[in-house]
Amino acid sequence: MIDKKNTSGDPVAHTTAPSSTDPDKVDSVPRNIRALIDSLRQSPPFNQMDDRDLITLLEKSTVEYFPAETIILSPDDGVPSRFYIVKKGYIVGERVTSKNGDVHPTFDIGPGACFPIAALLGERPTRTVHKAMEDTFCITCDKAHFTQIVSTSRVFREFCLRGISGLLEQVNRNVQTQAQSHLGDEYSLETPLKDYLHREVISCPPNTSVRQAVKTMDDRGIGSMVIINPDRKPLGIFTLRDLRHLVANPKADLDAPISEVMNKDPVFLPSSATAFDAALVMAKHHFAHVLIADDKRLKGVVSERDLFSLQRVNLVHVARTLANAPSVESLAEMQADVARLIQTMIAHGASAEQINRILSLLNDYTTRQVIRLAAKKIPHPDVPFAWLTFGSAGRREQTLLTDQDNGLIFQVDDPAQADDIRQRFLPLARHINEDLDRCGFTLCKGNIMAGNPKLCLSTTEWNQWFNQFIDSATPQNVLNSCIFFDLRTQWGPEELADNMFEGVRQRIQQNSIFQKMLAGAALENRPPLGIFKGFVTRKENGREGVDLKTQGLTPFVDAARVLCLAHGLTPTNTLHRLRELVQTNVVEEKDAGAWEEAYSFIQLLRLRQHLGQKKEGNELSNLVDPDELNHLDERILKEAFRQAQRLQRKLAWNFQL
Amino acid sequence: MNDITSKWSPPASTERLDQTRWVVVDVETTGLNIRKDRVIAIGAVEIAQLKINLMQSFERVFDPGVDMDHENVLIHGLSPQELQQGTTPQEGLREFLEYASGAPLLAFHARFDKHMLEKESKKWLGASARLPCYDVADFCQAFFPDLSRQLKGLDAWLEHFGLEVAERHHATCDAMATAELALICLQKAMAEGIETWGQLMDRVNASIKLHQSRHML
Repeated sequence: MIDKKNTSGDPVAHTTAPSSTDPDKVDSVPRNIRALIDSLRQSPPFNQMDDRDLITLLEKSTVEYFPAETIILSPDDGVPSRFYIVKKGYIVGERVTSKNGDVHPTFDIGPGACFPIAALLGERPTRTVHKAMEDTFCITCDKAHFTQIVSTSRVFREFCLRGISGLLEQVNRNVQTQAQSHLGDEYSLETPLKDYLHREVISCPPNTSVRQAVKTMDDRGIGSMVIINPDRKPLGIFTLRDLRHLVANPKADLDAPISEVMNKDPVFLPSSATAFDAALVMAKHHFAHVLIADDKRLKGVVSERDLFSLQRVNLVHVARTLANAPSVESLAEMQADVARLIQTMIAHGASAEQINRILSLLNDYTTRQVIRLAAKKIPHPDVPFAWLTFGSAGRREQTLLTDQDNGLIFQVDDPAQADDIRQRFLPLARHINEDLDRCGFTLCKGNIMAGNPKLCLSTTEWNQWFNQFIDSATPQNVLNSCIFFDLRTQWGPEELADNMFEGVRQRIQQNSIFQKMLAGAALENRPPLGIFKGFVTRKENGREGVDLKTQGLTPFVDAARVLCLAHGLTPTNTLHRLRELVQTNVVEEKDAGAWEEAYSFIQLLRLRQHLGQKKEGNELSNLVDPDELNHLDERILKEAFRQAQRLQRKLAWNFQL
Repeated sequence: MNDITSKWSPPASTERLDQTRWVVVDVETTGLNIRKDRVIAIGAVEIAQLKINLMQSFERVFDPGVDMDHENVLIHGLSPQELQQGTTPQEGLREFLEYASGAPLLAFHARFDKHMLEKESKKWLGASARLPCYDVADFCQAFFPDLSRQLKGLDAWLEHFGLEVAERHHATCDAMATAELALICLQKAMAEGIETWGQLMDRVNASIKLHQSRHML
């Protein structure tokens, strides 16, 4: 605290830092500077900068005061000459759109935030007017000093170069490492498969006898044998499960070549694929082993046990049990395992996208088995039919809070028969709806269910239904029905719906009035940000907060949907849609990246909240109270909502709304 | 030591406020008895061009050279060890006067700080000091007359404006918070069209007179 060595009487030298090589530098800093360092430490990137960097930053800085309503910085000032860190107060960035002179708030920032980084680095005027909304103090320094800190502090430099999207990324990562550290477990779903290649892979040529192969497996204590050709190309795999079948078969010949009993055309992944990819493949195909091969040359085998040795419930096991469940009762009981699995997955660092995919996969298994069991029991017409799902399930974006949005599509050759066939499908559809409800997929309040005669239609009728809807749409019914445009076949032949919807997609692409109406509906759910400070909260069931689903995710989902439909693009998943929009040059990669991260962050926050509620035995809700979030999450959430606003502005501009 | 002047004039009345260099000071003492008590710490920050200049932060603790009553530690928060590691009062005061040299001083309830600084300068440096010292409390009253009816004392003003003191009764931290309060007053003055030293003094003195006459009524 006190610089006791300085006795020179030099009025300046005493002050903040005698010299940068002084080992006591940190201790000799005046207490007011020390306090500023402590408060900077609350926010990134300063929380990762060491004392020395922060002292260097502060020693050439000043504290400035801006009363409420002061314009601190504006595009008219030219290239900015100073760098600002908010110490206290609240600043909004406003952008004037060139078209009509409207002012849009583009961001608001509070203590710990810095500006104008991009303008300083790019040596260009800021694009936004920075205005103090309340009495504000900022720590400021000139451009030369800012440049010096950028060049001397790696942390600061990376922060400045990555900008806000880097901040989102960092938080998404933090959430996962945090969860991971709670478990004290090094296992991660992002681990590349090459990290599992520590064991020698045991293989044999195709002409090896079964007996010989099994002996090798027994000697080495392994559960699988890979059959390869001389180029080390995997031809097949033989596992203990296959041996069981073999032994159970009285006619089996143990001296036959193994190529006759192996599983041909095994699935293999490159060594750069992740543990998550392998888990998904296993769950999807019910394999317990996945081969790793680069350039079709065998590198190794990963087993289910390698991936999940530390988990009590694992994805592959849950998927297999769901797919083979003997009754609706057992399916319903297994939903607790699904929740537990998701919890473990989050703890192991799964991202929101991965969780959505896993949940969709497992929900598909449950739904398919419900349908299979029902179809065995309930008589129904013998024509091709498929089960459709809409909305979040159609987009593969399910969370633990899921209700049913489904329909049935069937094929008839004679349109006159359609009504008769429908009547005979309805008992099955209703039975399935009820069984799904028993498994936790609650009945749809809006009756968007296959058991509703209006949603149990032939291919032709579905096509007419969509076309009629498009041609006679009103803003209100578009708002209520846009989930039908996120449709996916969940069970049955996919071509029924695919062929039917292809024509619908073309019709939308040609109908700009309908597109405009969809875009208008996409602007209905506004992100909950006020013109003034922070969040605009709403009250639901006596609790106050912001709705992560309708106010946070829906703007992204709706905007991605309308942009894709307008350009005739097929994906239904929001993240896939955003990526496809980049591929087709509809949106810029940088923008899409920021939107993806913002969307994923809100989704992850929502998943975390649901798990917490489930654990406490509370009803699942999408409402979050911003005051209960930690400082960083709160800032990121605000930024994520701001990204939603940007996306909506782009939409409004594209469709001239 | 003769080269130190502890007497200096206030700025010219035409000097622009956004050009003025101020030193905002806070002294910690062994007690509140102006006659008997002694300065044990000086903290100060500089305001130049209406910005607090962090490099020009001043912090000195004095070793009083005598044992002190333990209860005072509770007020100024400095432990005997910290005091023993301090500079001598001569040295510390000399450095402060050099640092402040020429600048008008600002403090909250400045009469106390002014008196202590002048008394100690005389005692340790033999200099008969007369420091141009201005009271931030007067500024607050002049520019926020309505608030000043309810807000009494530094803590009340800081709380009203949401200013945080990292460590209350630590000289440099108090000086920093006082400087922020002073900036609020000075910006308010500028916003009301007060641009020069002379105009500022006129306004502040008028407010003091008005206040005194109210009290007499």
